[in-house]
Amino acid sequence: MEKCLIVKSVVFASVQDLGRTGLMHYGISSNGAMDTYAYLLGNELVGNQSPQPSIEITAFDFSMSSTVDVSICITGAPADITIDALPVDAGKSVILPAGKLLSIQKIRQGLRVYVAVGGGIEAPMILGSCAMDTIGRIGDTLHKGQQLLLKNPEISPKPSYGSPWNIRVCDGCNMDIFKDYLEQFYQSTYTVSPDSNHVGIRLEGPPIVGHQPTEVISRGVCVGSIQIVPSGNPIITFKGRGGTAGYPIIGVIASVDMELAAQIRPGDSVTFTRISVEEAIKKYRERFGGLKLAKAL
Amino acid sequence: MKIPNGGIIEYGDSAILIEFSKTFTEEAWEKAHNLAGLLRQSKIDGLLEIYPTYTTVLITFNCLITDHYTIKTIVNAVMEGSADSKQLEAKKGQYYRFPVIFGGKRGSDLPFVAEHLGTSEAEVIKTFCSGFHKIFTFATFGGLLMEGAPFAEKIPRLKTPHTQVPGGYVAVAGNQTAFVPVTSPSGWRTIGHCPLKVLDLEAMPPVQYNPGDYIEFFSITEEEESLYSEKTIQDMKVML
Repeated sequence: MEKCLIVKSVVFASVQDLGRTGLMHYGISSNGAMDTYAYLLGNELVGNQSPQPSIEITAFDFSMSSTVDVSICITGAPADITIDALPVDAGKSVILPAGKLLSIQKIRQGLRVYVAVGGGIEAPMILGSCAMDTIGRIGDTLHKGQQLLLKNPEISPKPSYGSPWNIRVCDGCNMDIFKDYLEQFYQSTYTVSPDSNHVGIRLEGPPIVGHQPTEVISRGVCVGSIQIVPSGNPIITFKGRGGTAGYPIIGVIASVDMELAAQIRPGDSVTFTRISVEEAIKKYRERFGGLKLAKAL
Repeated sequence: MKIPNGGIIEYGDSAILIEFSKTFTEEAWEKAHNLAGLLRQSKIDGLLEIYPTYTTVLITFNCLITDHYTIKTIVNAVMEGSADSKQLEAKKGQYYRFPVIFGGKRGSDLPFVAEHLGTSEAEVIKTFCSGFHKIFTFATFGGLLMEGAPFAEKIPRLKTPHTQVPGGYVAVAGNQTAFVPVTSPSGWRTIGHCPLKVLDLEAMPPVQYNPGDYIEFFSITEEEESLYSEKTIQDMKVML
């Protein structure tokens, strides 16, 4: 079944966004949502990371349903809003459950009501916008029975979860201590100890012994640092770690694979693959660059 | 100031370590803390943490925004700009006295330390309390790492770290001393417990002491603990 909204009753409504800007010198006006604030507010409250095509309802009663549960937010002029006859607040993100009827009636005090949809509506983009332009004859008002496809939010491919895990590692700050032990480390298979948590993930495997020194002056420890403790076993220090430690560090988990380290379970098997810092940064940017919220890191 | 050759060390894909010395010297410590102070005054895109400890400064960054090359360039520029002049005024350290209940359940590794040094627990306590320890760096959640006591030998760390030591512990390893106000895992030898309240999570910063300050420890009994449990470190400041 297509993920879509289905218009049940409509007099005058359309799908709108912020409109076309920068084309005025061709005689093309912006059009777009008439009440920019109400349009943006709805999108923000429904959690969209950028303004998405939304429904603008003008003056008259409107109703619709969805084939899947979808989050919506109603903004703009006051109206009687119900989902299957139960009243719904404007200005709040709510779920429109699959198959239930969203009804907007008695628009008053103002003229226009906006329905923002989580992820947005799939609408044809013409000259950079889905806005209706009656002069250029772009777009059209909605009609009864019309299906509006919901956008599939862009989700990065799932990482390769599951044991045996293979985790990429960059060189750490004590490579002089471990230069003769890298082959062993990267060829060993480790088992995750039950004595692991958000502070440290303890690994058991062929112990690394004979390196010197086994302790260094305490210094700052990054998330994902793999320390070799005197027993010869590695400990991955994670986000809850104390700030300093004095065990030598053989490597640091590449930022792009930190999510794998965060998911390994006691009893799982883990192997490591050595990669360069340049490669690690490239892979990280490929994966996280597409996440708008990554800017908050 | 100058960074020694090989002193800028790559540390994973999102950090560098600036190392002024492989062994502890007061000079390297001072350089590390001066550099950290200078970097903290600069506005650097993508910079996350600047953490000076004994002889190093850990600098972490968001590799979406910046990279090793950019950060190294900035560090070198800051270092050159500070050549021959101490841009940070030498801050005069504060002095504090911290009460400690030694041994027993509160200092379960005291017998090991005494045995390792070939002496009695009382002698270990006496030596440990024989002078001020200079604070070198912050560690676990407002905890402190400082100068060690003048023991005859270094104290080895635990082969397998304790998974949990109750907050307020005083521990030793190598020729260093730690005071940690929160319950945490530790690879150090716990010799005692300090009942002072040093953390205030409603204040910023949440602790009052700093690297460069000094702490002298003194021994108290279990019975005396309640005398100190409501005291803050302001109450324990001493004027020399």
